Amino acid sequence: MKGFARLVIALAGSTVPLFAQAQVTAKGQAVAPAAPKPASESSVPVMRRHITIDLKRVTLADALLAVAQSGGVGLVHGDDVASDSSLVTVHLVDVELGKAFDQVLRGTGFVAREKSGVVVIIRDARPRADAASDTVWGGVWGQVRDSATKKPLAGVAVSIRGLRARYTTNDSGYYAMRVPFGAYLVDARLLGYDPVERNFVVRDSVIDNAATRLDIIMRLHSAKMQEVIVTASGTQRRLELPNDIVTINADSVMKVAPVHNVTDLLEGRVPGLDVQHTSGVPGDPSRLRLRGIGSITRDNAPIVIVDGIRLDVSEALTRSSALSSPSASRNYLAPSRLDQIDPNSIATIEVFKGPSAASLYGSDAANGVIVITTKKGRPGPPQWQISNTEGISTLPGSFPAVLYRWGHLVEGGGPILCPRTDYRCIQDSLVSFQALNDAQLRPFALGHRSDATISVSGGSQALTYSLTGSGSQDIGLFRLPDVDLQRYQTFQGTPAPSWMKRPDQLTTWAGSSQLTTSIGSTGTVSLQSSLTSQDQQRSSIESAIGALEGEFVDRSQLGIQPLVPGAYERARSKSLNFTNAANLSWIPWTWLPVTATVGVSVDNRDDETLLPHGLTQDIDSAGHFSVGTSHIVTETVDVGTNIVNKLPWGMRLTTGVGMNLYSTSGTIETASTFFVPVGVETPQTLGNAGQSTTHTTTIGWRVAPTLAITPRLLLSPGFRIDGGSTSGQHATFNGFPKLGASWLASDEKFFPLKKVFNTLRLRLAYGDAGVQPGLTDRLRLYSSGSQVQITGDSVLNGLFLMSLGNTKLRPERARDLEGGFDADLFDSRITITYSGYSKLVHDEIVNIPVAPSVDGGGSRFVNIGEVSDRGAEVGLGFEPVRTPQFTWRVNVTFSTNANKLVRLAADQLPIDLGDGRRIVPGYPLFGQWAKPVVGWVDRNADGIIDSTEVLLGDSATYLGQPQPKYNASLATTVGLFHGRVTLNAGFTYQDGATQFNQGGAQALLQAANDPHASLATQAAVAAANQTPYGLIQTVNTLRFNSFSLSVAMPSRIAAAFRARSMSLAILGSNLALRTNYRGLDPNVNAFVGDGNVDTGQLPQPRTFSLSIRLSN
Amino acid sequence: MKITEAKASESRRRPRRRIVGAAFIALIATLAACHDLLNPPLPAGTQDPSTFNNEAGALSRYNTAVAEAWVAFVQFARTSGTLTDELHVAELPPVGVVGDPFDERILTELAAVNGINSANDSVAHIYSAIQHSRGSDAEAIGALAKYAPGKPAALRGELYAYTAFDEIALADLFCSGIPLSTLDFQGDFTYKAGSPTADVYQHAIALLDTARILGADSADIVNLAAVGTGRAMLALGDYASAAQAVTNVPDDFRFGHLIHWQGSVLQVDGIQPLLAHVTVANGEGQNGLDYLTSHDPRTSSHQTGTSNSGQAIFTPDAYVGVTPFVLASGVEARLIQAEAALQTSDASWLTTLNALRTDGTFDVQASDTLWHAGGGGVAGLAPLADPGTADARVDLLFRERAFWLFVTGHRDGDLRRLIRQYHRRQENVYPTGFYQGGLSAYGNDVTAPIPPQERLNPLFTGCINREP
Repeated sequence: MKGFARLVIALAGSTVPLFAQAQVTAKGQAVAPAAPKPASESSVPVMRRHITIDLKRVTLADALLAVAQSGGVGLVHGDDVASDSSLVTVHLVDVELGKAFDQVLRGTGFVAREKSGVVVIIRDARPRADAASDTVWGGVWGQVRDSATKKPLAGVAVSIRGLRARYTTNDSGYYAMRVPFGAYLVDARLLGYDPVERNFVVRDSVIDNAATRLDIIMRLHSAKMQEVIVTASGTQRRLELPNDIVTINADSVMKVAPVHNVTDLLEGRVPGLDVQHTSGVPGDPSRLRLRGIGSITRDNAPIVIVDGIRLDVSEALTRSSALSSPSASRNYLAPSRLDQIDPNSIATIEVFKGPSAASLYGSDAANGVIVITTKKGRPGPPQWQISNTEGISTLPGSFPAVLYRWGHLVEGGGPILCPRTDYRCIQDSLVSFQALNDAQLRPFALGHRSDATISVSGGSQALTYSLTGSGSQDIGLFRLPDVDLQRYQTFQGTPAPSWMKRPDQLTTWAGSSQLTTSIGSTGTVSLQSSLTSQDQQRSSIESAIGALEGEFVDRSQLGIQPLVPGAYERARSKSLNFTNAANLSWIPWTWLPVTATVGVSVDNRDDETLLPHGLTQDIDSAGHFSVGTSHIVTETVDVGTNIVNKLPWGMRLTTGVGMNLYSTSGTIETASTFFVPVGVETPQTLGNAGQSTTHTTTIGWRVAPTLAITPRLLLSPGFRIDGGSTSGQHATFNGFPKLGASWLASDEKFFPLKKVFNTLRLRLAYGDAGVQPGLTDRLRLYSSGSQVQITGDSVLNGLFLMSLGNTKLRPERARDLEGGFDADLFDSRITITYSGYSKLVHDEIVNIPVAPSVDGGGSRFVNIGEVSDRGAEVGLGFEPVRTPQFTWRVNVTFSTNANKLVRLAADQLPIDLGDGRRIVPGYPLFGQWAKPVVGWVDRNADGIIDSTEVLLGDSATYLGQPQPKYNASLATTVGLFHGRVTLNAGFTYQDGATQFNQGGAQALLQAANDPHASLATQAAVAAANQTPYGLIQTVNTLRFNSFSLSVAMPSRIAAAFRARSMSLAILGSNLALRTNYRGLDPNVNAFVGDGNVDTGQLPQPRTFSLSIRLSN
Repeated sequence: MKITEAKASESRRRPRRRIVGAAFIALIATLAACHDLLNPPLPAGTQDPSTFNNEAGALSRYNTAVAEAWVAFVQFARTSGTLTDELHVAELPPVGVVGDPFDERILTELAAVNGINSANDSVAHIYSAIQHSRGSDAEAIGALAKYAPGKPAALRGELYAYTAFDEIALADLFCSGIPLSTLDFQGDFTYKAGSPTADVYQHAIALLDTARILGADSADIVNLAAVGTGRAMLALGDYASAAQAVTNVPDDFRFGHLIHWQGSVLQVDGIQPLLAHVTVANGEGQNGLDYLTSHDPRTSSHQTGTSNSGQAIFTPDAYVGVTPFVLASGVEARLIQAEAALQTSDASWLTTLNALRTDGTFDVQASDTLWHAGGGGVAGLAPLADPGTADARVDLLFRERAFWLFVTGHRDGDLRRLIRQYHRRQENVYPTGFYQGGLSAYGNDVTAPIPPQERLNPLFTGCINREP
């Protein structure tokens, strides 16, 4: 069915998802499932069913859809029907379906044919008698536009088969020809695009000033290159962007992998993205780094844009709120704002790295940009989808057993722990013990997660909608052991409250909506809203891992002393976030398409930390209670246009011009008390109130021309000017240039390997970006709160110098160079994306002390260094088997990153951050340093190395970097039985990150009790109180990250649920880990910033879940 | 046909395109300008510094500079006093209080009791306090010149004088090689290399010249600059110029303030709190003077407590209550003249010293002046007799200076001058032998090293020398 190269398949008036279209297109044939029929009419031939319908000035496609829906039949038609702008008005009462179709199609050149219960609209091959009326002339005119960007296409050759009429579209993409009344076939051709043939009829009923309007949509004939990328400049084709942009289709991922949040969607799917988790507690934030680390003191996290609206996801704000209250016994991390976005509401995620991010998003984008686009509705009757997932989580593996020597003192006495280096003690036995694995003591239980989602979308040509709602509850692994619960009841006289039993829980409710409506024929307006409510509860029982990992628990003390000191503290964070965005796409003049986005993101959080009265180790403590609220508002305004100019020699210039504004204001208030009445768990009168506010603004203007030298070769220069408060108050604007080139080599006539390459694109890009100083870093600040009194005078106002400031402080400036290629080979069975990058960040901003001869001391921010990140990223897709019965696809990503501080200012000494991390020229940022154990000697030949027998180096040496040098992932998908059964497996690999196993330190110390411990192990242990050298490892991990088995149930089973499709899936995550790390999970870290310290974090849990999806 | 209309309108679009384009750009520009987007509010608790760019802000800076100068002077007097024979560390200060001074002579004992870094921290503290005073002076001078041109120039003159006294203090206490970096008002700063001690005194003299010119309308500022000049020239060994500088300073001139912190108000009302934990010394380290047992009214003290080691703590009566701290006085001017006379064997050196003892009165607790002319002589002070030998005359002169200028930050400079200019040996001038009540001996240093924090200054290379 060649004529239906691009099919729209409508069943009972509904449109099947896009991926189904792709399948049909690829296979070149349409397979239309049988349409459900009303039971009462099942015996009546389809085309004789009677319907009544009333349509007034609706498009042809809508009219056909309405008729089919009324008749309860499936409908298949071509794209040419959908793009036919004829307006139809019919009023039919109780007529046969076949006649209704005839009525609607009269004069269009199409006819309806019924086949197996589905009505197919095809072109009428016979010339229509009434169309060939002699010499009555009419006309045809319209606009030719790009299918992806909707931009007008100039230079398109439009001709009418059988006539000599021929026209080339003008700069605005318009054509017009004078033709006699009748039915014709129009042909549109442009190099680089698929030719388009369209039927049309010039006739009275659709005459508009005696001319028929026929708009034509053309599509780049490279499927990959014509993908639309949503950027700050609006939608652009991938071809026009000289960078690699990673696009993730959320639905596709969520069908085959366990996804709880946005980080799950990203992890392992973006070459160059490193994800480090802060713990396995539900809702804990993760650290995302794209292409390494560029800044010493500023935020290294990418920025996040949702439907054009900037969210505030800065790690600094995440950490500074009340959950980090100093009164808390543990430094809890707040939930991540990024992960509070409902993944069920997301259509796509695009990840911009390097120059692309910089040039599009400017001064804040040096660390990359994550652009999230939420789901949008499509015209048609309501489509709904319901899914539910139930799962369990467990601790992955067990903690390493620790050896304890038991013995007695030389002078006698009972059994005691007998350290190997205690010469007063005689060993009697060696006991292997690990409290965290002990059934009575371990503070873990099975976790449980449940989530449900419902979504509905649809609409008409005039208004589309998409609504999504979801809820989830995640109960983590921690539990208070029974011995402690009993102890609580003994001392308190009441059973422990439920929160104490299962302390880490996360409950989330989310809803989102999207409405799109047309503004006449020249524009559309989209309104997006989303709301997320989250309640996260945690407890200081989390410190159990660090406390118990290397401890021998005396069971005789159980019930008397708490198993975990401070385990009864509860930390709770409730958040309510919403985002509202309005997007306008308007073409007031054909040469001036305008896009505008206005929106606001509001994040509210209420945190509290409670230690009830009398529940510390001393049992009689007064407790503490602290609360904090934060209110952060981020406003976005983005206005832009793309102006197309036709240049000589067939060149075309598209100039994007625009401005954007991001404004963030935040207020954080805290209060606390150190007295909580007995039995009280709600806020009391609090003191120690504090408040902080912040307000930052970034405003930027962009000019980004794209010069199409040929349709295959594009140059993209550009320039941004950014300024605002994030440049430091009273700062000047900063310019950020870019230059890129993209060449679709495979489309050149001389390209020699056309049989091998479907597509080969070469690209090269350069761009500048900035990382701005803090708001007050440039300013000389004073404190006017204090006063002075000099003899005989009254109290006078004083003005004390608080901060020297630095009027010469500049933004950090990242210069990115990226080159690579995208290739599709062998009918897209192999796809390869390669990028090499080099990023150099100049003018690193660091807070440096000032010599006291200036003002007695203090410090200020200065630009002092240069940091480089270099690496390569490879994405490989391979489809070795592609048959209807069996498909097998493998996707591999691989990336490297080499980070280095190139230099500091000439007079700047290396910077020691005080926790083993240093900033040293020639080495990676935040590298781990420690004095090495250079040797040992068993002087007394007793087989035991003590601290006096260890030789340490004179100075600390470099041990490794916080970021992995290598990241890789492999995802494989097997489809069976026409895709009804799908198997997926995902693996991730990391190597080269250096981890400080602080939490396992005590366990390592006990390792020396092993009589078989090597002298090297003993030396590392013996020196542990002088150097952490023996606790630091450069780790590698191979993780079996995800697995799923998905089965599409037979339609009759789905029908039992009033659905047309139904699928069941078994999902698993974190199923196995192979690593050289001595702790349990090297990918969990106490730092949200840049550094890797495992202080006893909960490992990422292993999960198993069962998912069911239903849709109509 | 419609297309014909469209084509016809093409030619008319170009001017309209430009108009619309210009309007679009104007809209964007206006949007930015109207909202003052580039200067959003600063975080709570942080005040936009431009709000202080006015006369009131300049005067507030002046008030602060004055207060911080006096805090530095008092702290300097205390620290340098403990390094000489004036004061003695009687007990360790509570945690968090910067107290014990650096000195190699007492370092061992301090290290044994209080941690080895405490003495160095103390030196770093006084170094920072003095340099901070210099920075505050520069800020206030710049603000007064720019935003308060109508205010008396003497205000700036006063601050120049304070800067000069700061530098004299640095030169008196620290080794040669002191960096005099500069802080630009509303600008940046400039690191300076270490200056030899003599250059620091010369720089102070230049500042005092400026102070004298700006403060010409204020007799107090003129006299303050004169005494400071005399003091610096004396340190340079230019006795004649020193005497010349102070010739016109009246006998009863006194420039002093009371200083004290209380809550958020920096009150200039007393030195006493800063003297906690130290006691007036008596015969310190064999060479020390008999400040207590002489019962001299100029050093009269009384016991205010007992140290945690059982040692009696004596506090100078001059610093009890609201008695002022004196930075410069007519008495010092006469002492400078007496020393210059002694250099030329002019007999007036003794006449001048005796005139102070017999022609005036001295009230150690007076709130207005310690010494004033007339009244029949200071009770308890008899005229001095010429001891007959040159060394004895020098000893007598410096003893008089020690008693008249007791705990005013002059003694350490005087002891160094005795070595530098009068060729005395260190062990005969500074306390020596076993540290009183301690376990170890005094050391040999006579200058404090510049704190290692100054290494952040790329032009600073350490002490040029440790000579007196």
